[in-house]
Amino acid sequence: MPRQTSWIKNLTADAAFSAIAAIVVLLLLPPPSAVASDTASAMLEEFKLIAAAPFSLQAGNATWTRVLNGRSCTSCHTESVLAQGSHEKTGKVIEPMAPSVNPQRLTDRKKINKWFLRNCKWTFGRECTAQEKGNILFWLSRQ
Amino acid sequence: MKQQTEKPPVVWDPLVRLFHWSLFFFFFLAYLEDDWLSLHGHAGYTVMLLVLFRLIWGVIGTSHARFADFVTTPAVAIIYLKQLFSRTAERHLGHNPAGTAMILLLLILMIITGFSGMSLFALEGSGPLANTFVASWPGYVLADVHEFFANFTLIAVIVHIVGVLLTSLVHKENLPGTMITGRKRAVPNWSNKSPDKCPDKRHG
Amino acid sequence: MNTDISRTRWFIGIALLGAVLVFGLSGVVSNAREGDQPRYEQNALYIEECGACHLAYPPPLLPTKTWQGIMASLEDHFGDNAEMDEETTAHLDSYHERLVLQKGAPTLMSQMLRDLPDDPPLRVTEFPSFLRAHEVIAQQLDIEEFAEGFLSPCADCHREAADGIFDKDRLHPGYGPQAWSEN
Repeated sequence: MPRQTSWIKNLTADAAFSAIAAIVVLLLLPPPSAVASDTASAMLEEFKLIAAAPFSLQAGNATWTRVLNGRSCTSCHTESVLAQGSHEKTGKVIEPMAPSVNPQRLTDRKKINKWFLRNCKWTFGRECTAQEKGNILFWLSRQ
Repeated sequence: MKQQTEKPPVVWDPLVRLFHWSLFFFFFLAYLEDDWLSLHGHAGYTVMLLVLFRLIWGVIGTSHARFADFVTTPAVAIIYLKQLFSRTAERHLGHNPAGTAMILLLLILMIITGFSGMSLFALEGSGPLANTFVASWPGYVLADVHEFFANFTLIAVIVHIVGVLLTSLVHKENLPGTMITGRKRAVPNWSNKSPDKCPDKRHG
Repeated sequence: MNTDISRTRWFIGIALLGAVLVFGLSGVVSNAREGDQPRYEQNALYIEECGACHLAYPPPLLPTKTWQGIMASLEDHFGDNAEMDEETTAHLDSYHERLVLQKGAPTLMSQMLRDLPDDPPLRVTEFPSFLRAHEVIAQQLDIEEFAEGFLSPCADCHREAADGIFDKDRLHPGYGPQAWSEN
């Protein structure tokens, strides 16, 4: 009878609409890592004071994947920062760099500075500039 | 006089027996744990100290423990070995001549092994020989000497065990057991005063 | 038993043998207790800084000259950059120095430092004692020379290398003389 089945239809329609709405909202929500850790944010603020241009995801990614004399960040950290890497020479396992997968990352200022020093020098033969560090940190903290 | 109702005489006093089995334990401990140097060295020092004890007890100890009781010449030892293989060897209450030879050999080998080991420790400034004349000796040579004599000692120990078993068979007694209980079946004409000093050991 | 010796002699004998056995057994017990402990004093900062890319080589393996040589060339640490700030460097230098002064009974590690030339190599894998000890591997694998860096990851065979334990009977199963003789 039309009257009795219509409430079922309404219920189904409501449910479907809610589900779609929920999915849309969830997709629009920023992923957890897009909120940079306190340490990363503080460092970014400091880099901003010295850097010339605003930081961008694209520039960060570009620096990260840049190859110079056969060396790149990806040499050890691999093409995806979500994956485990390994030391090019010793094979020692390196945990993923992406905070979304490895929440320990980018929380220790000393550690961040230490590895910037060592690895920029190894990769590019010099220290990274505040601009470059800022770009990388900006990009990495959102992975 | 028959001693069938009497218990067999105790030939090996408790200290000789305890010494014997302790030496067995600490020698094998040192031999098997040759990489765990702190344990190895400790066992080695203990072997040296046990040997030292035996040397002292060989002078002040009970009659069959004293070296005077059994030390004899190599010639006699060889004669005894021949007799052993032809099953004509006489039973001795104390150490027989072949046993004597083995004991002396083992003592000497353990002393050399232990001393070379102590010298190796001394090269690294450890142990009683540190900062002594030993310090300038070449490490590689010492290490090879130490290893060689340790293995030589092991071979001697194996020969010793074979010899004891052989003698046990020939004389129909459980010699390893006697080193635990200390008691050995008496020899004829055994007496407390002059145990088994047959003037001429080549004849029965 | 021909107990024809005086009480005094018994007393001396018992005292001597007793003392030796107490010495021996107490040593066995105390060593057994420490059996699985690291054979050197460990330091968290050292493991963090020097173990990030490879096994944190136990400092007792590094004679002073080698240590100094490595610390002075961190910018080019065998092709990598391993720079540290001054505070960290000072901490680690004093840690190493303390271990050097502390040296106790010999270990397999201290044996590696035997017969070193006055100007020792920077790599432990080039020490004469090390080469001698590992000759047997080349023989077993039937090769003339080891590929560069082949023996550098100690822990690949010496599973307790991080604790300074390099005993031949404590290797990974399948490695070493015991395994070879079984094959």
